[in-house]
Amino acid sequence: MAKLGRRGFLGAAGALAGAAACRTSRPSQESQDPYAATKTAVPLERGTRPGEERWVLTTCGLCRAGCGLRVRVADGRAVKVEGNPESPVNRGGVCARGQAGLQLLYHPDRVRAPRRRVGQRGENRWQEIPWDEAIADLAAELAKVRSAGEPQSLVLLDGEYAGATHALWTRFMAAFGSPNHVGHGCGGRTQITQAVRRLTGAVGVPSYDFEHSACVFLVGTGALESSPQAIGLARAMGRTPRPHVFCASSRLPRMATFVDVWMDVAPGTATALLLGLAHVLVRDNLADLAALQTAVGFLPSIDASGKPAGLRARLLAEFSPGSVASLTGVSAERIERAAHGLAVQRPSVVSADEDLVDLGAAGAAILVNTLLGSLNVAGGMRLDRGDAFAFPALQPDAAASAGLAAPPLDGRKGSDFTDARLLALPQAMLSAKPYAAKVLLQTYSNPVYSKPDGKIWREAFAKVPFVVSFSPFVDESTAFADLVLPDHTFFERWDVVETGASLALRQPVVRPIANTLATGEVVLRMARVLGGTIARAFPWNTMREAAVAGLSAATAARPSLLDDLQSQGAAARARDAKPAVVVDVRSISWVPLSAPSDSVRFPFALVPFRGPGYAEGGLRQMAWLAELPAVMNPWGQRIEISFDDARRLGIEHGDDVVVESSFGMLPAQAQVSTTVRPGVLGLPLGREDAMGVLGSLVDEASGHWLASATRAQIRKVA
Amino acid sequence: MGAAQAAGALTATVANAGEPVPAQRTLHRWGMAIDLDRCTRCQACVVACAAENNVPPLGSEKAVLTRPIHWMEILVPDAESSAVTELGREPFPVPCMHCDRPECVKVCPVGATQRSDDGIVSQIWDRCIGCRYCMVACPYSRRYFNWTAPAWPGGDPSSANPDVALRPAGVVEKCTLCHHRIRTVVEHARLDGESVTDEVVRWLPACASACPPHAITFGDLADPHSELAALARDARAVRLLDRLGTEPKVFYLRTRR
Repeated sequence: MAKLGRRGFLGAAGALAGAAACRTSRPSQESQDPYAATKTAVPLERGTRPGEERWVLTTCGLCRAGCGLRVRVADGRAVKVEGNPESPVNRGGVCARGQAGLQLLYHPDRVRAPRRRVGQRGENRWQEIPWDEAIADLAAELAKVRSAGEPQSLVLLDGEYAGATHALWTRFMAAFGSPNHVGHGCGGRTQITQAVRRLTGAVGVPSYDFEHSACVFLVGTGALESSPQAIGLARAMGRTPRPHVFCASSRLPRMATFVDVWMDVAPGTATALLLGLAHVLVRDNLADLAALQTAVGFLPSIDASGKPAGLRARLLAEFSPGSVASLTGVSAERIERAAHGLAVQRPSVVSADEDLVDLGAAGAAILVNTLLGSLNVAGGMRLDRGDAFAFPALQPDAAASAGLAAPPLDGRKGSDFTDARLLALPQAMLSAKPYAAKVLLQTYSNPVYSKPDGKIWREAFAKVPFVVSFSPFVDESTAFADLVLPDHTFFERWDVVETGASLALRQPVVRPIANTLATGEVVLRMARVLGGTIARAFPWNTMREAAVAGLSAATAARPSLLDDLQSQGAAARARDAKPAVVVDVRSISWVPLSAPSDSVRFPFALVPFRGPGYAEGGLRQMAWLAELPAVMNPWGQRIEISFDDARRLGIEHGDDVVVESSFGMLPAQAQVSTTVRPGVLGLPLGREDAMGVLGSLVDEASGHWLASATRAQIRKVA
Repeated sequence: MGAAQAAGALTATVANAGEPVPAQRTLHRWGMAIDLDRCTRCQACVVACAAENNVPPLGSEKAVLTRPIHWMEILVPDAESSAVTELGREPFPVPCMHCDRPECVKVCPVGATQRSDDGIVSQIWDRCIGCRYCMVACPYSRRYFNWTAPAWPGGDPSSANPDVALRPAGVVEKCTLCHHRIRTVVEHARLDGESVTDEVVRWLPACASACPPHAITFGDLADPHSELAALARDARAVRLLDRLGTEPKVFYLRTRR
């Protein structure tokens, strides 16, 4: 025992625990006699013996952080999730969501086999079919559009951004010949990756070394509640001394007691606040000199009209703390103090990496990190390469080349996955311009539920002749599908996950509990059925084989990689000591939103946020998360309102209210809070109708959703 | 599970018959420290506890009738109220305090709840008659009544931990400090002839094991050299409602701000 380290004892103790295990009686369904309990035990999984127990290393799939897990499997059932101490992401800790993952695995509403629609779309009448038939169906539809010379009419909505399955999809779209591989996140994941690429040319998502930071400046509340940064921030809070934490947001969760300074910024003005910080850093000579000199578009130059250009000049002219204060509602003194706090307490880092902040703020955060000298240093922002998977070069055939040359339906400017403009897609599908979408595949995505203006998605789906969903649940978007090819949950499948700091192994913890199939395997089988160059692009029999092939460059550099993954669950990625980053700041700008047209009728800004239990699809039905202790009205909708506004409107904590915007109405229960900025309503996402009141307002320059731009009013229900 | 276990009587049935088993048992006094300067109120402990101890969710229908059961709970003081706890107005996690002088034990008419000799305040579901005196007596409101039979999503607790009994309707339940885990480790150490070290028990309860910032320290107060004993002596340490004389064994660490 003595040799077993932290959190390691349970695996070794398992044998004894297993021997002592006793399945006790399970109470019957609700009955008149409260003591009535049937003596039926939970049945054993096939192939297991009573008391058999093991621990399996895998990687969480409930957000993109990729925490290492150790799962206890007793009698063939996964019974407890623990953190893997070897994982550089979480070092043994697991968040509430990860702990509740078992409720996803054993969720009663899972799709238990492939199914074909028999009734009208959305009627929820299905016929179960064998896998071979389902894949043949899909391949036939795909072959049809390809032989018609329109491979570009295939659209893939993909909610994964890394890992083996995503890499296979990327390759499939290239081999098939469609440029319409669209990322599901209309927010952060594409915003931060896009900002990183625009400013630094780096590919992939940044990570944040909060654990070694002395000062952390967060934009938005994601890292406090639900974003993949939350686990790293929590670990940093366990250190002594812990980092000093600033948070710029219009509301602060009641639980975020460790935020030292809350900057209650007006909705939609975080970019200006960050540029104000940059102003102070430059003005007071606190910025990193080398970064200043190498940055493209930073130092003064003269533009065509003879006026000084360059971001430095603009910062100094337009973003003084005084003028930023009037835009953001944060006093000039507090802006100065925050900038000096970041400059003095090094290493410091700014994170604007959340689904609901806009692209401008993501870019401005990179600028401030550059000025602080915090790019690619300990305690700073890491620009990690998301290129662990590299398949051998692909030779698209003529049909595919023609399809790939077509303009993407979403009207993106570049050709990259991260340039996708998801919110423009439904309109293009409705108008069939520049061409019609014929086949729509959706994996890890549920836009009807999770994107603003879900109604337009429903209409757009109706225009597509063939809709396929890979969701393990009949969610809102899957309800409109013609064919459902249910994926495994992450506890049942094999994958290699790219996280910022490491590569991590995901492997089956239990046998699939239903007749589901990993989507990566479906891609391989579909390619085989399609034949020709597409089949030749996928010479692998299993997903595992494909992933190993994709990792060949990484394994060449590190022969023990696969063994390390198997024995430890995760392997730290090789990193250059301090790769030089040249930052191009020319794309950074900020213009205030035009004043709301109807501010008399709709005096409040509606600020959506994601609480600790938020996730898409079936996850929101995970009961342990819904019933977290401090959640008011756990199974209903609530709305946060400031103490002052509530008093003015005669609304008391717990009152039934109605929130109304020009897009819809939402009944909710009022949660009166002292940490909500007056004039703001905090809208937790995750319930059925929350998205219905939010408008699909888009920043034209970037195509991103302006999450906090919806105006609303609130009134008490008599 | 039941009486034998709660009384702390450890039988040697799991040991191999031929091997000599060390007979002596060292007396432990298990307790916990929760560092509020580290805690991010992420509530991982809450779900970890529910998963380990088969705490059933209420579900949407029952949620309007009663409160959900949380052996590990986050209490959220009313931000506007004038009443302030020892811990100020910030939310804080609360397990059972495992008092050395537990009020709940005094009032139980059937001996369903006891303070075992290793300091854990236990609850024997099979003995509980559901009178709920203990719930009234507990100054920390750390006891929950099963008003209904547990309703598992899909009707089947597939992910239930086989080491912890499911509770029927009509009984009171509470935090056990994961004593099934403690027992496993103590038994192992005894069979191996080793002592139970801090290193081995530090992460023992599910809440401590899950906690991302390592805010929860589990340990043995009977060992003056344990990490927990040192934390209990720390200047930052406070106990909830200390003036009642219940002698709780959960210590909160916090810097006054």
